[in-house]
Amino acid sequence: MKNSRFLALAAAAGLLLIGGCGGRQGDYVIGATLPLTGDAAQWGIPPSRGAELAVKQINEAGGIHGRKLKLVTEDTRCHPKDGVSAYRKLTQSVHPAAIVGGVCSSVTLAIAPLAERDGVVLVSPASTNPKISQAGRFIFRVIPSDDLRGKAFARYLHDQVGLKKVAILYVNNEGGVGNKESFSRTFTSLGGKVVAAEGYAQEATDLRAQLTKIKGMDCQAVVVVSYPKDTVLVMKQSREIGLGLPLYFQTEAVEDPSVLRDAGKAAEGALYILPAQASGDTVKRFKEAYKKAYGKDPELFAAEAYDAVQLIAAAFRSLPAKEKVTGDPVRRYLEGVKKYQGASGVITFDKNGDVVKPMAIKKIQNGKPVLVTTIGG
Amino acid sequence: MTLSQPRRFRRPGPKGRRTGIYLQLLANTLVAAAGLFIVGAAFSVIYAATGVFHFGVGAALALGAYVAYLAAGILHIPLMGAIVLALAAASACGWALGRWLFLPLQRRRASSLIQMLASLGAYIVVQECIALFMGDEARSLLPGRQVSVVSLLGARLTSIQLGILAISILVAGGGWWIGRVSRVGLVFRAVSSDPTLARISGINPDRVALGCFAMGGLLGGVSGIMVGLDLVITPTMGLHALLLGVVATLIGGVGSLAGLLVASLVVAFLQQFGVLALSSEWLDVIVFLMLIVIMLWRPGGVMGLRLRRS
Repeated sequence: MKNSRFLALAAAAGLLLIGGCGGRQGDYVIGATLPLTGDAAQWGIPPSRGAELAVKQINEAGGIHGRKLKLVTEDTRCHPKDGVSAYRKLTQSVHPAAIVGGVCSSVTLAIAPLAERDGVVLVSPASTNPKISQAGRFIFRVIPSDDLRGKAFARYLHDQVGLKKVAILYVNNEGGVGNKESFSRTFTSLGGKVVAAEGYAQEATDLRAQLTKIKGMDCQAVVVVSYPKDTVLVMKQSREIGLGLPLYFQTEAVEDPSVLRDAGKAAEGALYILPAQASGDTVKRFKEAYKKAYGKDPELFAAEAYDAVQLIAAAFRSLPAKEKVTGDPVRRYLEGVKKYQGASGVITFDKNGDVVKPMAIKKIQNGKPVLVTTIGG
Repeated sequence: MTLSQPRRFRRPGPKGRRTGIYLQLLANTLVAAAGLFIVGAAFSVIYAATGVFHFGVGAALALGAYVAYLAAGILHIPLMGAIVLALAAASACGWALGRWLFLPLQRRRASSLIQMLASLGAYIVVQECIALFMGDEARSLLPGRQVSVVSLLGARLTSIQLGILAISILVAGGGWWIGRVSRVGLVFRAVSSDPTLARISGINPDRVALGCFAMGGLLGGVSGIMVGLDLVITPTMGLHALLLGVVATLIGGVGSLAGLLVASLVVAFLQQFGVLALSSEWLDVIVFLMLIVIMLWRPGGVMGLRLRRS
C-alpha cells in the first residue's frame, strides 16, 4: 500500500518533470500549427519545411545548451476549429513554450486567445490580417501586417516628402478600405490632413468623376490604393482631366507588367511603396540549404517559418540551461528583438508583436521601376 | 539619397477651381451620356422589335471590343481596319443570336422569360470564352499611347471623347431618320405594334427581327469599341455597360429616342455630379433608386410608348 502510493507519487512527479521540460526529457520543444492537408496545404507545407530545416541546422550545430531541439507539428486544415484542436493537442501532450503558426489569419485569430490565456508564445509565419496586432502580448508574426504599408507610406509622405494635405482614392473592398484607414490614421496623427477619401467599385473603369472632384479640392497630392487595372485608369484619366497633382500609389500594382505596358508615359514619375526584397548572407545561405534539402527554391512562407524557429531557439538559448522553459521569458526575449538578420529579411518586433520590416519606395523612371529609398526596419 | 520634392503646379485659386470643376463634370457627363445612349439604343432596337429583354447586346459589345483588340493589338491591322472588322463581327454576333437563338425559341412559343434566360446564357458563354482565351486582365485598345487633349473653358476632353460625342450625335440623327422618315422605320413600327397584322400586310416579321438583331449587335459593337478606346476592356464589360444603358432605356421609355437621350443625360449627370455631394460608392444606389421610383410612377418610362404587348 505504502509502496504503491510512493510509486504513484513518483510517476506524477516524473510526468510533471517531463511536462515542464517538454517532450522527451532533455529536449527543447517547439510546436507548429500549420495547414498540411486540404486546399491551403500549399501554404502550410513550405513553412513546415522551413521550420524543419531550422531545427535540423540547430541540432547539427550542437543543439541548445547541449540538448536537442524538437519540432512537433499538428495539422490545422486552415479551419479555425481544427486549428484549436491542433493547439489543444500540442499543449496537452508536449507543452511547448512556443508555437509556430498559424498560416491562415482566421486560424491564428482563433488560437490567439487560448495561447494568450495559457501563456504560450505564438509566432505566425504567414497571417497578415491587421486584427492580429491586437490579439495579445504572446502573439507575434514574422510577416508584416497589411497595416504596416499604410503606416510607413503615411510617415514617408508626411516626414520626407513634406505633404500636409492629401486626397485618397481607393478601391472599395476590404483590402482597399483597410489600407486607406491605416494610411489616414497615421497621416492624421502626424498632423497631416486627409481632405477627401473617394472610393470606387472594384469593377469601375470610369474614375473621372472622382478625379475631377479631387481636382477641385485643396490638396497637394493623391494617395491611390488600387489594383493593376485601376492603376492604369487612374494614371491615364488624371492626365486627361489635367489633375495636376502628383500620384502616390500605396500598392505594388504599379510594377505589374500590364501597367507599364498600357499606361505608357502616363506611368512616368509614379511613386509607390512595397515590401523591400530580402537580401544578405543569411538569405543566400537559407536559399542554398533549402534547395539542397528539398530540391527547389524556397516557396512562400518557408523563410518566415525558418526565422520563427531560429528566433524561438535564440530565446531558449538566452535562458539559463537549467531553467524550466515557459512562454513568458520567450515573449520577453522576442519583444527585445531588433534588426535580426533573418532568412526573410531584417526583423524587428513592435509593441504589438508585429514585425517591422523595411519597405521600399520606388518610382517609374524612363518606363522602369527605380528604387528611391528603403524605409523602416 | 536626395528625395524628390512634390512638383509645384500652378493651380488656380479656390474660386476659379470650382468653376473649372463644374465645367469638367459637365464635359464628363456628356461623354458618359453618349456611352449610355448608344448602349440604350442597341438594347431598345431589339427590345422594341421583339419584346424580349435580350442580353445579346452585351455579348456583341464585348465581342466587338475583343475583336478590335485582337486585330489591332495582335495582328497589327491599322486601327480603322480593326474597327471595321470588329463592327462586322459584332453585327454578325447579333444576327446569329437572332437566327439561332431567338427565332427557334420564338417558333416554339417560348415565353419572354425563357427568351431572356436563354440570352443571358448566350451572353455568359461569350463572356467566359473571352475570359478563357484572352484572360481576365484588363486590356487597352491603345496600349501605352497618349491621346491628345482639347481644352475648352477649363474642361478637358480627349480626341477619343470628342469622337464618341460625334458618333452618338450621328447615331441619334440616323436613328431618328430611320425611325420616322424611311420605309424601314415604317416596317419596323408596324411589326413592333402588331406582328400579326404586319404579316397579313406582307411583311416578314422574322426578317425584321433579324435586321434588328444585326442592328443591335452593330450598335453594341460601336459601344464596345468606344469603351475600349476611352477606358479599358475586360471580359465582363458587356453586362456592366448594358445594365446602365438598360436603366437609361427604361427611365426614358422603350421606343422613345428622345426619352432615351434625356434619360442618358440625367443618369450621367447624377453619376458625375453626385460625387460632389456624396461619397462615390453611393452613386449606383442613387441611379437604381431613381429607376425604381420612375417604374412605380410611370411603368412605361417618362416618355415611353404605351406598349400594347403583354
